[in-house]
Amino acid sequence: MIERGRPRPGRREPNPLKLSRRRRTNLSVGLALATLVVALAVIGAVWTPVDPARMDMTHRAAPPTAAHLFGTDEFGRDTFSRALKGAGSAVEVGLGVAVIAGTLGLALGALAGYRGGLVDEVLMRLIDGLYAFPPLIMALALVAVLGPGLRQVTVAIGLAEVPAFARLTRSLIIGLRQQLFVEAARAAGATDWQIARRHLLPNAAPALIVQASIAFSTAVLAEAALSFLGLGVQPPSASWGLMLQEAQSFLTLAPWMAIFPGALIAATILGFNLVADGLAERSDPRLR
Amino acid sequence: MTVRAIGRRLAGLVLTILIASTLSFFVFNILPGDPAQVIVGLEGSPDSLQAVRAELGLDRPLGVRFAAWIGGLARGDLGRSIHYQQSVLSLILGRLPLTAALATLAILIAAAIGIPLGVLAAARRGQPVDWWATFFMQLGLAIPGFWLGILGIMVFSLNLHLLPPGGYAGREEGFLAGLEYLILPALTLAVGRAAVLTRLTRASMNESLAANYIQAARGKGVPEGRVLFRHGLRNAVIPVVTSAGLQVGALLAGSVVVERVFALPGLGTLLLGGVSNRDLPLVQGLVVFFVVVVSLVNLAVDLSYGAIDPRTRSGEVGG
Repeated sequence: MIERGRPRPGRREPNPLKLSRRRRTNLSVGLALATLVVALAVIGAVWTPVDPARMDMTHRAAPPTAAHLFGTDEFGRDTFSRALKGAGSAVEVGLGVAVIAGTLGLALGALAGYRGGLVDEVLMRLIDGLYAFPPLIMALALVAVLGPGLRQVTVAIGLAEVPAFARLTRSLIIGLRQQLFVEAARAAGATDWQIARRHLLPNAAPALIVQASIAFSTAVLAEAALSFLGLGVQPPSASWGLMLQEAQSFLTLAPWMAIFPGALIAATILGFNLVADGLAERSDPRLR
Repeated sequence: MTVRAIGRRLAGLVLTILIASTLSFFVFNILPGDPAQVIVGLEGSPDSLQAVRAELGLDRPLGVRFAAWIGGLARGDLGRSIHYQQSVLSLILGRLPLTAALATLAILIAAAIGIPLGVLAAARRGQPVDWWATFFMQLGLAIPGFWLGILGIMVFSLNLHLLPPGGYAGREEGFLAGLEYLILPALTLAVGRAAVLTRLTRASMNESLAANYIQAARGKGVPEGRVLFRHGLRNAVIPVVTSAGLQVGALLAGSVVVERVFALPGLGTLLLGGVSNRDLPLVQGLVVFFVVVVSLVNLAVDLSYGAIDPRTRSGEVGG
């Protein structure tokens, strides 16, 4: 198989100082955006300016004002309060997917990479078979079986992201397995479990954290897409994707209904992508 | 590439498709959800439920059904839709042209933007142009297609009245007249791909431009444009081309969302309808069809390696 999308080692940078400052900016901007989104989710969980489900028929599709920062929707519900709740849905799915895909992918990839031989052969054939599904298509198919809803969507996207994690873990483990310090540990009588915990995991961790950040942003996008398609978070719960779907019928009447949730999705994805890029460049000097 | 190598690629393709279709079969047949119940409805009598189950072949043991599914696939039979009462393949073929046109248009736009932008960014590495290219790349990756489509409808259809806000009249008015309906959707679909292509091209060009043959070409006085495109890009384009399978997969997934935004009756709409109607045989057949398309693109990439990269022509391709 061809390794897809794997960055190849490049030459050293002619002007490293100037660029490393840019990388730091990327990481800081990314962390700031990611923190903002998580903060919105936490705030939304405990407090919203208005009850996000409260309909106000006298203020239907009203433009943004001090009382309604993001305006109101066709039922007079406060778009800002709903966006706060939407942040909760996005972060919940993002975290859930990172945990599901991370745990399963780590286990499968580490097993294949560490054992090698027939175990590796069989597992990787299976993973390659899974990898042939475009992730969103796989998530859609799983939702078709599991039914719509936040939890189902988390499981569906999480499973769809397992192959990427498993392939990455396997290649990391195979690279590390041949390192001298692992051989030394084995010669010193360390058990497989000790080697995995003390030597393999800590060395693989930076790349896995980067992948987790990518999985988070992929999950936020996929959740929004599935909810937009009516297969994700169900009304009256709030999700940015669902809000965009509702907004599409009122584009001329209430454009703010479409603008704010979309901008929040983009900001979240941008934030976690920048964090992933910044961390990747930090842990891999060749990318600087 | 030797005949043996081609044979091995083909065997790999068959194996991947076999594994993927087996996985889809078990996902759709073991997990809860009874297609017969969907047809009969919740009020249907147990007798009619049993009759429908028999008609769909659901009363047969799992193993028999699996053998029938794989056997059907080998003959190009992707199953039968419950909702449409038609073969899945004929449904797919009816909607394929629209989605294919949309995806082709999108990837052409994406390549026309992404590859030159990536070359430019690499050629001016660390300069403002590079910064702006990276900025637009990050934005392109972050902005969801459906939001961009909605914004496009707001600006170009509802305010400027330049393009239709959705629908497709290509079937009645002919393909060229119908093209008007595909411009906004294709642009929407292209932005994310353009960002990915910029990123791939830029990274690959950075590596390629650091090579000795670039120094040599510059040293003997080859004009810079020729250095970039003939010497640099020719080598840098390989990772871009090998990502074609991923790109096609992403285009297919993206078309589901974009077809929804613009109300286009393509494969994505067919898949969504299948999911909403719980027409599991249709979804199963469509998903396997997507896997076959992606796998065939990967195979084509593998086989065309020699043409793109002469260094691999003599023998076996690595990897």
